Amino acid sequence: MTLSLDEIKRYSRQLVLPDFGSRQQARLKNAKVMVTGAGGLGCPISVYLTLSGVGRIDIVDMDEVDLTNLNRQFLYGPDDVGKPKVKIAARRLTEINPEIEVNPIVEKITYDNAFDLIKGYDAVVDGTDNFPVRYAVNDACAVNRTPLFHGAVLMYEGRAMSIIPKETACFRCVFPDAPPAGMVPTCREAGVVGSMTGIIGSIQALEAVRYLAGLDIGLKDRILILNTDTMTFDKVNVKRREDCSACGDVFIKKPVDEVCEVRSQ
Amino acid sequence: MTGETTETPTEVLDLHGERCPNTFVYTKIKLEDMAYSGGGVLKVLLDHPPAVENIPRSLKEEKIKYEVLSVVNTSGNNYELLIRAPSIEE
Repeated sequence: MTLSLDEIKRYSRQLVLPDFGSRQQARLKNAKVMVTGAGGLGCPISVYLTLSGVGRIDIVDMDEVDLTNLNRQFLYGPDDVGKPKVKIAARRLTEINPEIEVNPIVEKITYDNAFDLIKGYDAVVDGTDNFPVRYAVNDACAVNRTPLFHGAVLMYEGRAMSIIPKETACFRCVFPDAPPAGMVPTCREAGVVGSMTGIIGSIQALEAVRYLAGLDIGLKDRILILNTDTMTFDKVNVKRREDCSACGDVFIKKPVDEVCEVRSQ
Repeated sequence: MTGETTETPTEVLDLHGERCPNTFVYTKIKLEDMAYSGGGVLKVLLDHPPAVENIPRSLKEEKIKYEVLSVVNTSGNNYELLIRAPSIEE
């Protein structure tokens, strides 16, 4: 595949990198990626996938823009309040990079539809903000063997982890079950500063772009934990479990119930 | 690595008017295309003197082993670089 002169110019600052070139750019152009969630994480994720030149991006979210989103979800403005997020996001992303295709999918991801919805993608980058959907996305990616780039933010802490199913630990290998209802965050913990989701979403997007381009990635079998009170990045090694209900030898359906929890991302 | 060479270029890239880092990006992409389609010798035409040093230096950091055959100052700020791209399998 040959890149057009416009594409060479647009991507010149990444094409100039030693491990990056026309082949890596062409891999990104041919890639089909799903972004689950168009919120605090979904905004930086989808923007950086768009800027990097990922050829096809599908964004799933059923929410409408709310005024409370605007401290972190930078794809939207006050005029967008009440409109479907994914439609606004897709339009804006296509304006930013007309060379790629962005498809809005207004849908709620559930444990029942995730397995069909997340099919045929080269990668999924997860910007969901709650446990039922997070586990549904993880299990669907494990069964469909779709690489998954996980991220989460709670108050001043953020996490990210890259999952290559059957090869590296999945979310359920590390957290087999969702925390019990009493352990889920309280209202105050719904707080989030925009740059927090910006950092974590950008890390997820970077891992996905590097993976899709064929470069090494650093968050396989590792959870990156960012504590912004002390501004420290820690990495915790994790291991794949062969008895994992999602990616292990035998798949066991384990939907996670909706609990009364905050949704902050 | 300076002076005349007997190698005949198989392709020519005219980068008159281009500046760094575009001079390197265009050269690199052209060389990659050549490397993946059988290799060859590229003649690069430049009028931006810093690129004359930067292109060979940056090419050394690439995984593909390119060979700068000659650098010739044809007149004033005009330069011609001759670079060999090896043949690489996809």
